[in-house]
Amino acid sequence: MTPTRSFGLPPARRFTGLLALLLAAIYMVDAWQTLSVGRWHKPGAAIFPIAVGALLALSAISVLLEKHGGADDPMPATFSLPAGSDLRRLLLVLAAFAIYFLAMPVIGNMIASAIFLFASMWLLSDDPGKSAPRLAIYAVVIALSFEVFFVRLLKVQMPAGVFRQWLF
Amino acid sequence: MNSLQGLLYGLHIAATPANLLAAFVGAFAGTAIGVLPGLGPVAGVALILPLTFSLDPSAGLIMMAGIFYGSMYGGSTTAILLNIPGESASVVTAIDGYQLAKKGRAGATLTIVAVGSFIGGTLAVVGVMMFSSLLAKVAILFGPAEFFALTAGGLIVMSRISGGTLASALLPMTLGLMLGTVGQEAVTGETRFTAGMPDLAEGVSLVPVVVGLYGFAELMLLVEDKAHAASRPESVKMRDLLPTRTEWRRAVPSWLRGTFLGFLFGLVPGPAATLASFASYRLEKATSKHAAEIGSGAIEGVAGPEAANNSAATASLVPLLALGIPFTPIAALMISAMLVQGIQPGPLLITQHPEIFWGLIASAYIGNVMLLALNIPMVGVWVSLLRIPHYLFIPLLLVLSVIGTYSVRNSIFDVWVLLAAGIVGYAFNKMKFQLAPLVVGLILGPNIEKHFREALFLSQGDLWIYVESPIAITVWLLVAAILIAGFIARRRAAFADAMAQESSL
Repeated sequence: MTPTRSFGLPPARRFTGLLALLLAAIYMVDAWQTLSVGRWHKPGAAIFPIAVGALLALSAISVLLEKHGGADDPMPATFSLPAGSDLRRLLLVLAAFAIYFLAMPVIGNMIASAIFLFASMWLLSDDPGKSAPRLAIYAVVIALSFEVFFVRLLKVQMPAGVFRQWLF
Repeated sequence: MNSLQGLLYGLHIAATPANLLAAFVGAFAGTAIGVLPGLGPVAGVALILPLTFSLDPSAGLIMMAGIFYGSMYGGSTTAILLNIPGESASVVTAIDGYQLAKKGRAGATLTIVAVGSFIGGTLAVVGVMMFSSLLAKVAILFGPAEFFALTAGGLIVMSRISGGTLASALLPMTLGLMLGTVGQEAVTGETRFTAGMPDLAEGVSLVPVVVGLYGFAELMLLVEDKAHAASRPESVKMRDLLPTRTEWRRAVPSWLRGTFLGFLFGLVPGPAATLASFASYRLEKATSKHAAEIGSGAIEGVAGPEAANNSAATASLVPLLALGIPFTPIAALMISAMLVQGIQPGPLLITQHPEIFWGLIASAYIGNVMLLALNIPMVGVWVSLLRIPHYLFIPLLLVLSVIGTYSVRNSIFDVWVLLAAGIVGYAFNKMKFQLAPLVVGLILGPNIEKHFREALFLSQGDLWIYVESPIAITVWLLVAAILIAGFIARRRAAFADAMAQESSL
């Protein structure tokens, strides 16, 4: 059984509605202060954003005023998020993904990809007897294949990093 | 050039070795994308977009169309074998398809689905061919007010018919519109809402948003969902692929009903393929002689919806080809590909670039034949793809999504946008907000603003310009009719539910 934690859907949606209302206010104030409104015959760059901001505020209010729990409510009362080891695993994969972006311009796409592939395969594998050398071989083979196919064959520009002189 | 001459010209273009190869690669990759859970048609096409820039424009678009159709085909394989729809349009297929698989009819059901998808896709191409060229002739008469009516009206329709509550579609749609205002605006070139970041001056790129919302968010759901990731299908033998005579006979009317219904849905803005498959399922329940069996493993329950979703997917090319307006994320990605290649989509496409217009239409015929050949004899290969452990394919797809996103503008900033969009997509999925309106809002927002302001400039500020011309009036009336029809349908469904509950008490 996968460990999960349940949360109420209505409060989560209301919180999202509140955030959207705040965003709409900031967006409209910014549009009003920094852009020209113009006139009807010569509309400025602020006209459309102000209209969109007003629509965003309206949609946020409609989320805040939603009625939940009736017989015809199409939405469930709760939603679940992972907990315990599953949550830790999800967050670790996300962290590895973010570190991958940070490392890519420095060490190059191929090496960063290989390291990320190895780390995420290790995190995602449920096999108690998983072998690090086997996963490392998979990671290197996949990263090399991507490099050959995308960068060499299809000429897709990817960061080469500080090892450019040794690898290219 | 009439439609028949156009088609022959298109076949001549599509049958060149480079374009045939593009169609094959697209169909093959699309089927694999559809089979693997995590990447649906939208993310699949988004990932391949940068790769098409190095190809000839016709070949690039043909490859993208192949991926689109292929993933629609492939999505049903997981729905039938594992009860996991590869993409949203296959949700309905899973209901009866999985029941049929449990009865030992998985192979025959896969054949019925593949042939139904072929029939739906191929017949819809005939409609696309006729409608697109007709509509393109009318669209030459369109001015800013008419285009404003089409784009704004389309967005309004989409927010109402994309499923869920009104707020569930309206909030993401306005967020999409808001994102579309970031960067240089189209009329005066003024820079807006960039917070001093040079990376935002060109606006928020479509690819990272689409890959994040549709690809990355789905992969995050797979990371947390061990039960689905651990599912392994039974193998399907070649001799099991042949349906019985009764199954063929029962499938034919459902295919034809689904094709017709799907084509109509494809012309309406919104997630046409998904809506068409649900509508077809309801139609089969209402009209089939074997309605009582639907839900517990009836061939009509898979034949109709599969023909419908492929027909709708094909028909959604009509507004793209005739008007240059993308009402779906995939159409938007195709327009991005055209713009990068220096091709202006719109009503003049058919006269200025007949090779693109007719080549794409003809390639759909060829692509459907390829998909039929790929799907039935190679079902064992597709099933074996499902046996790839999730710890291998999830990281592989994550790296692929980064390469695809980065290569569009060579920007690390876009990769961070991918991550942010993925987290938003994950949260929106959990909280039951719709994702498609956000993407379509982002795409159509700049167009709506451009047409809105151009119309005001032209009319010297007279707001009546938006409802003055017969075309604009017709478009707004159509929008109103679709909204009213949707309202009535929802009221009737709610009434029927209430009656059913009352009678069960």
